[in-house]
Amino acid sequence: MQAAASLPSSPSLAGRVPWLLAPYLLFFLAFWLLPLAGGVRLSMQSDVLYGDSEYVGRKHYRALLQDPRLLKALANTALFAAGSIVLILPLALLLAQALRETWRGWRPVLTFALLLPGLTPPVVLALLFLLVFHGEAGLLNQWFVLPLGGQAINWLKDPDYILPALVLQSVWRWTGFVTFFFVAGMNAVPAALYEAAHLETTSRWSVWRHVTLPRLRPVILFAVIYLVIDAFSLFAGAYVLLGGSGGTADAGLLLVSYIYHQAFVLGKFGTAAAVSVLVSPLLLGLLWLCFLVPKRA
Amino acid sequence: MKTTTTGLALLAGLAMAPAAVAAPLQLWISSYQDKVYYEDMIRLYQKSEDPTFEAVVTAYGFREMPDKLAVSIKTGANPPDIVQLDEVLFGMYLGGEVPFVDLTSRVKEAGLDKDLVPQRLKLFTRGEAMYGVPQSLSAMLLYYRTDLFEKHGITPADLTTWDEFVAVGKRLKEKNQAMIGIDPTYFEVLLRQRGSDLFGKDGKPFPDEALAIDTLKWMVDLQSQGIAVQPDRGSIFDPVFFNTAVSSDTILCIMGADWYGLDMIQQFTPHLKGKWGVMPLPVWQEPGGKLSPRTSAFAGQGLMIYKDSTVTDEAWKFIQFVMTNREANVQRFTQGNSFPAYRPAWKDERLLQPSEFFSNQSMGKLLIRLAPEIPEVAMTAQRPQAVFMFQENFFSQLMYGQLSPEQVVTQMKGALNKQ
Repeated sequence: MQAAASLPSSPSLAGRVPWLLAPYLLFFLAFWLLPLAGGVRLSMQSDVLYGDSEYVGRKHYRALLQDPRLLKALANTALFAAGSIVLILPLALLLAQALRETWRGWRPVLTFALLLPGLTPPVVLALLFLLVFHGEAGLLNQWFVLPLGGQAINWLKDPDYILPALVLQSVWRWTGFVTFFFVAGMNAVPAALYEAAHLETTSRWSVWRHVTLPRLRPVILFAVIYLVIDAFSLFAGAYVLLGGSGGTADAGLLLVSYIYHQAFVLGKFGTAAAVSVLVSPLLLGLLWLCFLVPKRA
Repeated sequence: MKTTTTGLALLAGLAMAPAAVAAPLQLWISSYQDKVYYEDMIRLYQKSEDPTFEAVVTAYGFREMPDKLAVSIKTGANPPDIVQLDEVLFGMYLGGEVPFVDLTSRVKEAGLDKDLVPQRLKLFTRGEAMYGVPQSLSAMLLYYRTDLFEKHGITPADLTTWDEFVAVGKRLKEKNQAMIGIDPTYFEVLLRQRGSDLFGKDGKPFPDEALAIDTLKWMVDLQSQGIAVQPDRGSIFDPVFFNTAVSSDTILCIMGADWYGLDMIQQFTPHLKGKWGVMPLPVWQEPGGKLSPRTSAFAGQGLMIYKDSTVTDEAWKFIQFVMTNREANVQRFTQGNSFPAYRPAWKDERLLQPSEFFSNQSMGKLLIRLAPEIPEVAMTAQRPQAVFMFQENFFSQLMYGQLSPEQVVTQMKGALNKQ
C-alpha cells in the first residue's frame, strides 16, 4: 500500500513518464495517425491513378451511399461475422472443457494441433481450402456430401453456398485459437470457487453455468471483438477462393473485397479510401456495442 | 595519429571513387514462366548489342502484377522502367492520364508497324497513341485429344462448323462422353469470332446485343445438352481442371490461344504427350451463309515503358531488340511462352517444326495460316472490369440458370454504363 501510494509522487518517475511513452506515441503517430490522415486526404481527391488529382470534397462519400454493392458488402460481412461467432464460440467452449478434462500429457499436443490453423498464413489456408471446397472432386463433397447421399455442392460457385463456405473456413481457422484463450480463462478461475460450488450442488452443468461461464465473460468478449475485427478485415481467404470480386451474384462480397475492387479493378483509389473512412465509425460503434451489451446483461 | 591517417586515406579513397554507377533497368514481368526467358534475353542483348547493359527482372503473378504496379504508380515508390502486361489488364491504366510512354513514333521508326500482325498492333492503344508493343499472336485454336478422337471415330474434318461440332457432341452424349470444357472467356472469344466484341469502337458495351445474347444462349445449350462440361471451379486455367476433367478423359477438346497450348497444356498434362492435336476453330455459319473466321483472339502480353522512367531510350532499345531479334522471337516460342506476332521471324524453321507433344503436327504452320483471320480486340478502360465481372459474377449464374442470357447482358451493360 505504501509502495503504491508513493508511485505517483515520485518526482523522478513522473518526470520520465512522457519519455517512456515516447516510443509508443512515435509509432502511433507514424503507423496510425499519419496513414489515417493520408487516407482521409485521399478520400477527398479525384480517382486518378497517374498524374495530379484534384480536391473533390465529399463526392466519393455521396456516391458510395447510393451504391447498393456497398450495402451488400456490409450485409455479407455482418452475416459472416455473426455466422463465425455463433459457430466458433460454443465449439471452442466445448473443446476447451474437453481439453481440460483430457490426460495432462496429451494437452500440449492437442493445444498445438488446435492452434495450427490459426498460425497458418491465411493465403496458405485458403489454398488448402480450394481443395476442400473444390466442386465434385473437393474433399467436402467426397468425404461428407456424396457418402451421405447428397448432390455434390459447388461451394465456390453456387451463390447459396459461397458465404457458408467462407464461414466454414473461418471456423476452421479460429476455433482452436479461441479454444486456447478459453482454456487460459478457465485455468484462471480460483479453485476455491469450484470447491464452494460443489458444496452447493453436484450438477456439473450447474457449476459450469454459474461459476465457469460468468468468469469467462471477459475472454468471450475478447473473442467476439477479435472475430468481428477479423470479419471486417478478411481479405486473403476470400480473394484466393473467389477472386478479386465477390463471387457469383456478389454472394461472397465482403467489405475488404469491395475496397479492393474499387481500388485495383476500377482504379478508384479515392473511392476506396472513402469506404475505409466511412466504415471506421461503424466499426467503432460495433465494438462499443460489444463492450456495452455484456455490461447491461 | 594513426586514426587521422586512416581517416584521410578513407576520404581520399572516396574522392577517387568513380562517379555513381547507373542503376540497372527494372523490368517487371507478369508471369513467372517468362522470367527465365527475359533473363536469357538480357544475356543475349549484352552479348550482341550492349555489354554494359544491366537489368533486373522481377516476376509477379498475373493478377498480382497490376496491383503492385498501381501501388507503385500511385505512391511513386520504386516504379519499374519496363512493364510486361497482359492485354486483359492493360485497360486498367486507360481511365485517366496513361502512365506509359507513347511509343507510336518509335514503333514506326523501327518498322514494327509493318512487321507486326496488324490486328495485334492496335491492342495496347488509346486513340492514335500506342503505349505497348504486343508480343504474342494469341490466335485461338482447338486443342483435341487425338487418341480419344480415334476411339470415337471423329476426325478434325467432322468439326468444320460449330453446327457440326454440336451434332457430333450430341452423338457422343449418348455414350456419356462430353466434347469440351467450357470457360467464361469463351464468351468474348466466340463473340469476336462472330464479328462482334464486348465493346464497340465507341467504347460502349455490347455493340451487338442480340449476337451477345445468342452466343450466351449457345453456351448454355452446349452445357445443358451435355456437350460441354463446366470445370469444377468454372475455369480451364485451373490446374485441377487438368487433373480431373482432362486426365480422366471426361472431355475431348479445349479452346485456347497459342500460349495456352505452349504453356498450360504442356505443363499440366506432360503424361499426354503425343495424344494432343491442334486444329482451327469450327466456324459459324451466319444466316446469310457467310462463314466466320477460323480463329479468334484472347489475352497476350505486351511491353510498355513507364512514363517517369529516366532511362526511356535504353528501355526502348531493349524492347526493340526483344521484338525484332530473330533469336529472341524464336526463343519465345521454343521456351513455351507464345507464338510471336513479329512476322519476319516466321521464316525461321524452328517455328515451323512438327511438335512431338502435338502428335507431330506443326503448330507454327497452322498459326501462320490463321494469322490473317485473327480479329481485333476492342480495347477500353472498362475491358478488365467486363472480363472479370462476367468471369466471377455472372458466368455461374448463367450456367446455373439463375439468370437468363438477356438478364446477363442487361445487368452487365447497366453496371458498365454506371462506372
